[in-house]
This record gives sequence, structure tokens and C-alpha cells, in this order.
Amino acid sequence: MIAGEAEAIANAKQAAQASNGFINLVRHAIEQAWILPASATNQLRAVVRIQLLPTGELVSARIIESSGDSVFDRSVLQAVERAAPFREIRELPLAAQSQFREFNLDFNPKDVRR
Amino acid sequence: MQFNSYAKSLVVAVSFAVMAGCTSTGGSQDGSMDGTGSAGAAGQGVTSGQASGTQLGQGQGYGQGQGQDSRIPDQRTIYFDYDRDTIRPEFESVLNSHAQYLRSNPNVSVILQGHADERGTREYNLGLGERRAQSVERYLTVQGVSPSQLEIVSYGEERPAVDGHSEQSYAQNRRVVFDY
Amino acid sequence: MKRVVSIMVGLWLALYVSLANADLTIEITKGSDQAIPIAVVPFATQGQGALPEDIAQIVSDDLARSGQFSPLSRGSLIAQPNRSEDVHYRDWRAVDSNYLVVGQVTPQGDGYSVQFELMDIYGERRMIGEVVNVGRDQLRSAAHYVSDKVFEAITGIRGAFSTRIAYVTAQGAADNRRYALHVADADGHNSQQILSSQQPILSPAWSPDGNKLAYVSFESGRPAIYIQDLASSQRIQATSFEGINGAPAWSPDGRQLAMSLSKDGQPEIYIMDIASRSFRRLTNNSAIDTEPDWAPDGQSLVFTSDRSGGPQLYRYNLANGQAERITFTGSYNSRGRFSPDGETLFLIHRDDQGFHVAKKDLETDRMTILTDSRWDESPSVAPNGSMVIFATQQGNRGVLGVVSADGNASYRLPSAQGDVREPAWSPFMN
Repeated sequence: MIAGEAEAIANAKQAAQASNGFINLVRHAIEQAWILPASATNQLRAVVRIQLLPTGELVSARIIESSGDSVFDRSVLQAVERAAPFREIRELPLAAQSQFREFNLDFNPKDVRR
Repeated sequence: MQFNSYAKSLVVAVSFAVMAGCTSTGGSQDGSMDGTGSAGAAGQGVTSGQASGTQLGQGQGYGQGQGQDSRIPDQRTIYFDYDRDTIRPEFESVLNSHAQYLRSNPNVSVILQGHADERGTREYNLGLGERRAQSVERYLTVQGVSPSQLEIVSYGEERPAVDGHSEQSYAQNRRVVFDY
Repeated sequence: MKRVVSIMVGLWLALYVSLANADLTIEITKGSDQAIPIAVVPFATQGQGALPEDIAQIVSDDLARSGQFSPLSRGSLIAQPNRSEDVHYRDWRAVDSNYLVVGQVTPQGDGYSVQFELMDIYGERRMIGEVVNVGRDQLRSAAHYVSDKVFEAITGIRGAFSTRIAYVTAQGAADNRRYALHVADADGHNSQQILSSQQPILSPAWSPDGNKLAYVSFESGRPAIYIQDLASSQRIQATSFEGINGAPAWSPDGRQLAMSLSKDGQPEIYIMDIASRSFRRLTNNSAIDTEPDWAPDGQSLVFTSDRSGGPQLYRYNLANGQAERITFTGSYNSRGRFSPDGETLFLIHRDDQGFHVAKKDLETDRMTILTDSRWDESPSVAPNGSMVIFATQQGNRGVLGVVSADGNASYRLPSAQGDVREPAWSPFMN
């Protein structure tokens, strides 16, 4: 009983760490692939919804919240496409894998010149 | 390394040649100058770019024109410190000789050409060149020269006496030239 | 006990991953400032014979020079389509190209018909497609036109590749120098000499319609400001006062010329009404006031003044006649030039290393040095604000450099012999 709980906690911790690792990996890959438009400002924000296969391949990426700037919107979609696939999803614990089959990316540059 | 020997030769050249209105051959290292032989004359050709008054006798001191009121003084260029328009004491006798000549020849007029070194923006340097020429103009009028004999044209950095980016070149370019 | 455990498990998960299935959101707050990969396939030629110009190469070079694009090398082009129908998007994804330009040239009449298309590789769609007809000797212009359209479609910023530059050359020894004023394409090609003199020429300035140049020439032995019509070569002498006649700058409506005149003793800023030749004096002090530039809205001018001791930039408000100092960083700031949106000033700033092109954000007051060259002068901004051309030194020669407005990209324009200086970027020409 006690051992089971400890194990559950340990598993949950591990799952959370793995999830966190995956999030960082996705974030890093997309930041590397996102070529900020010269006209980007920190006022612009777009949210992209992405769907992955269990293998990490991109099924779809679509804008669910547009920045109102077609250049900016195109740049974030290209970033997702360039960064995919995210094969590391297969290394997540099963429970976490399902979390990441579909998620949002919120693009909002903080560190641009104006 | 090359710069060192270049600078050294300039120091030597400048130290006893500048006052005579002569220049080193340093400027010939600039890619835009054609050939080396013309550099000595180049330093003297600053008076107007026309043919007048360019063939000064080398080695003549700047005081030599004094007393010869009918002759334009030989030394026609004086030099200035960086970012300054004050007349250096060693050039007062040059200015005095020109003042004397102009007073004695009230029909003669002269263009005071003001020049700056190349550092800084061009239009601003036109202003600096003009200040130097105005400084000379003030000195001459205090000496009794009629303002109507004097005209100022500032060339800023547009017509350097010598090319090159050394302090030695700059020192020869910060100048006022008497163009009779 | 079991409930406690599951709560704890839940908390752990909630800490890192939103449990609500649909709402996991990852924030992306940083991007890369790398250049955009683009493939420009050599344009097909219909008919016999090679073309005198390689359009794809010119487009590629234009885009690369902007600093915002990194065109794929020809060797890494995976296919050679010439029409969008022949493009397999997957191929171009494999070489990591975000965009693809294809096209073809067909001789037509006395000239050419140039057809081009731009594709978004990841969006798998054609973005633009156009046909341009040009004269026999206008293939370079056609190529710059393609560059303009591609640049605008991708960045949302109007391309400035079809613009021109004016500049001054000086050749010969110090006592026998020849000065000339030239006009060329923005990439340095097609240069034409429009004035030559044994006396200095400086400060060319384009009229807002791109038809005229104002400049300072010493050809009479004294400085004077001229206005020359480029098509007819006819010119007028705008000013020839005693003293400095310098730094002409057109008002945005092209009717007035700001300038620096020392006719009253010191260089002061004046505005000349070109049609009536009347003058209005703006400044009055014992300092050097020069290098005016109009704000794009025409309401104010920036100029250089050393009234505080050294040269600094001041902004003159035409409505109230007040001049306010606007640069405080460093002991030398001069020749300010407004960006087309009026929000940024490009200028020459001196630091320990020398004179650099810098920019000052007029809203935040932040000053950013854009170049690491040491002898920079005469910044002039492209009409789309993306690049700044300036004069600098390479070896012992004056050359023209271009730096992107963010400072990330720069290049030197090729030049012939002699010193090249005093560049001025034209307005949009069409």
C-alpha cells in the first residue's frame, strides 16, 4: 500500500518531468525554426493549434487566433512546419502522450525591438 | 609594420618640412593617387587647384616675405590644432607678413581657404573650415587689413593637402590657405 | 490515503501540464533572426540564345543583400521547375526552403516578356504570379521588379530594389582631383555620370518625386547649391551666397529646400521656397548649424549644431520655432536622417573606435550603433526604411556600404577607381 503510493508519486513525478522535457523540446525547436518577420512587434500574437500522430508527425497546424497580420501568421505556421516532426513524443509515458496529441502554441514575441 | 615605418617617415618629414610648405610623400600610398613623384607638389597645390602660386621655393622660412611689401609672402598656409580655430603663436609672423602686404597693396584681395581634416561629417566640416578662415580674417582686420580685401571660402574636408588617415596627415589638412 | 495520492499525482501533473485536455498551451516568446531560406530557380528562356542578364541571379543577389533572405545556392536546387504547376512542394521542404521563385522569359517584339511566380512551400500555395513586359535593355529592371514583388509578398514591406542611388567620386592626386556626380541603380549597376568638375561636389539630395537632384558644387570657385533635372540635365543655381551654401534637403512636398547658409556670419539653417526663391531663417546663434533633414510629416527638421560645444542633433519644430536637443549619448552625433515612418533617426555617432552609422529610436531614445567600420559618413535611408547606405573607408579608399536598419546585415557596393562618397538613396521611382 505505502509502497504503491510512493511508486505512484514517483511515476507521476517522472511523467511530469518527461512532459516538461517534451514541452521544452517543442518550444526550443519552434523558437529555432521561427524566423521573426522584420515587421514583428510585441503587440502581435497568434495561437496555432497543432495535431500530432503518435509518431510525432504533424497532422495539422491551423491558426485559431490570428494576429491580424498575414505575414506574422504565415511565419508562425512555417515555424511549426519546419520544426515538426516531434518524434520524442513516443518516449513519453503513455498517459502523457495523449496530452500532446493536440495542443496550442501561443506565439507572442517579447524580445523584439519595438 | 608597414604603418610604423610609414608613420615614422611622416614624423621625420613633417617635423622639418611642414613649415616650408612642403609635404612628405606619404600621401602617395593612397590608392587613389597616381604615382609617387607628384606628391611633393601635391602638398603645395592646395592654394587653389588652379595654376597660381604653387611653385614655392622649398626650405624658405615663413618670415622671409617680411619687408618686401610688393611681394606676396611665400608662406601661404598656416595649420591648426584638432577641433580648434585659434591661431598658433608660431604662425603669427606669417599672418603679420600677409597683413603688411595687404595693407601696402589695398587693391589686392585674397581668398582665405578654410580646411578641416577628414574626421567627422562633410557639411559640419565645412563649418569648421570656415571658422578657421574667420579666425584668420579677424586677425588680419585687427592688423588693419580692410575686410573688403578678404573673402572666405571653406572647403571643409573636400580638398585635403595630403591623403591618409594618420594624425600626421590630419595635421597638414587642418589649415587656412591664402589664395591670392 | 489513496485519494491523497491521486490528488498529489494530479497536482504534479497540473504543475507542468494543463490537465484540461484541449488547453495545453506552450508559449513561444522568442524567434530566430536568421534569414529566410528561399530558392530562386534559373528562369527558363523561350527561344534561342542566352539572355544578356541572369534574372534569377539578380533576384537572388537583391534578396541576399537585404539581409532578410538567404537564397539557396544553385547547386542545392533540387529541381528546375519554371511554372507553379510543375512544383512538388515536398521536394522543397526537403531542402528547408520556405519559399520558391520560378519564372521564364520569352522574347516578345523588341523586348521580353518576363513571367514569375512565388510559392509558399509549407503553405503549399502560389502567393503571387505576374507577367511583365520590358524593353530589350531592361532585363535588369525586370529582375529588380521581381525582387520588389517577392520581397513585399513575403515581408509585407515594399521592396526598394528598383530604386537608384546618387554618389560622388573623386579621382586623382590631391592637386589634380576630378570630382563627379553619378546616378546608378541601387545595386550599383547602370551608373551614369551627371556632372564632372575639378572642384568639390557634395551633398546630393533627391527630390521627393525622384526627378531632380539638389547638390553643392564648388565649380565656380565658391560653393553653390544647384537643382538639376535628371531627365533633361537642365539645372538652376538655387543659391550662391557668400560663405557656405550647403546641405540641401527637400521638404516632403518638394516645394522647399532646407539648407545651411553662412551669409550672415555663421552657418544657419534656412528654408528656401523654390518657386518664389524666398528664404526663411530658422536658427540664429554663433554655432555651426547644418545638415538639416525634414521629418516625413513636414512638421519638423532635424539638424546638426555644436551650440553645446560639440556636434549634436537638434529638432526644430516648425510650428513653434523651437529647437530642442535630442542626442545626449556621446560627444559627436551628426547628420541625422529620418526613417520613412519618422520614428527613427539614422546618424553618425563617434565612439572610442571612430565614426559609425547609428540609429536612435525617437520614442525610446535608445541609440544603437549599426556598423563596426570606423570612418562612416553620410548615411542615407532606403525609401522602405530597411537599409541605410553610407560612405566608409576600405583600405585607403572611400567606398559605399549598406547596412540593414537592424544592423544584422551589411555589404559593400563594388566601385571603380578612386574615392566614392556622399551616397543618397532615391525615393520610390514608381
